[in-house]
Amino acid sequence: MGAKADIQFNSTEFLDRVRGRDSSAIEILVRKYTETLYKAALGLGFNPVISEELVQSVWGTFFDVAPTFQGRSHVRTFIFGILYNKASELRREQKKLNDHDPIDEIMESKFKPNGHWAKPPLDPESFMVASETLDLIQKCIDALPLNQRMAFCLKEIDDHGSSDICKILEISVTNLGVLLYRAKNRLRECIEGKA
Amino acid sequence: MLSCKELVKIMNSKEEMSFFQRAEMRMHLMMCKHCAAYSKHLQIMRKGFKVLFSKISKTEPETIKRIEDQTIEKIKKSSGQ
Repeated sequence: MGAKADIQFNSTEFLDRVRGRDSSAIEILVRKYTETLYKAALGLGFNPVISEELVQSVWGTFFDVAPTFQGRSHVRTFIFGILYNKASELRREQKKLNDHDPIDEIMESKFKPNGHWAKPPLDPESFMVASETLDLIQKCIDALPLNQRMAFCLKEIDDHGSSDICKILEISVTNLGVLLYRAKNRLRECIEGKA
Repeated sequence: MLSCKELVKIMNSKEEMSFFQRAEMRMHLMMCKHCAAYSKHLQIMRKGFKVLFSKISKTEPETIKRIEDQTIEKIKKSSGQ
């Protein structure tokens, strides 16, 4: 999905057609982003049936609220934001960032007061062997809170830019940093623990 | 000089690093095998999850087309078309 190909989707002309529920505009948009939405839902851990319902629900909401969409963010960012909101509702997980996460204490305990490692990481070869067990990393990613999982997926798998991710999750850059820090360290800890 | 603890904190947000921090990080990683191992873990992890995700998100084109068709029909119907 190159940046050039997406430019026309944010043109005033196209967005006006979308808001006016122009038939061909609906088709173009739905065929453009359905696959990526569906894969994102699967990646968040929803089964195919639920993922499909989610996607349809996202589109339904999108076209309902399209009149209020001003095009300040890219339409794809807006659509993903709707997906994230619905996913959070489904999982009944809060979107706001907790003050504490268990990983914070775990990371603290790994270092001595002088900042050196007290509990150093495993050798990379052993870690690599463990990470090749797909079942293990499946379990590790499933154990993440939804907001951490979403941040990690958007960043590492879909390669979204930080500013887009912040808009999708409705968080500040600082909070995104916290989410990613927690996600990555939880995942690393989980893999290392089973290695 | 960054301590290992400080480095681990900022290693997760490489783009927000200043040029100087990045240079400090590279030096530290050359000298510290523990932090180098941690950094390698993150790399390995990223690759592992990419493999997992391509497996999880494998879809049939017919499935996607069906979802698209149904969605388009629903939206058009609800717009009275």
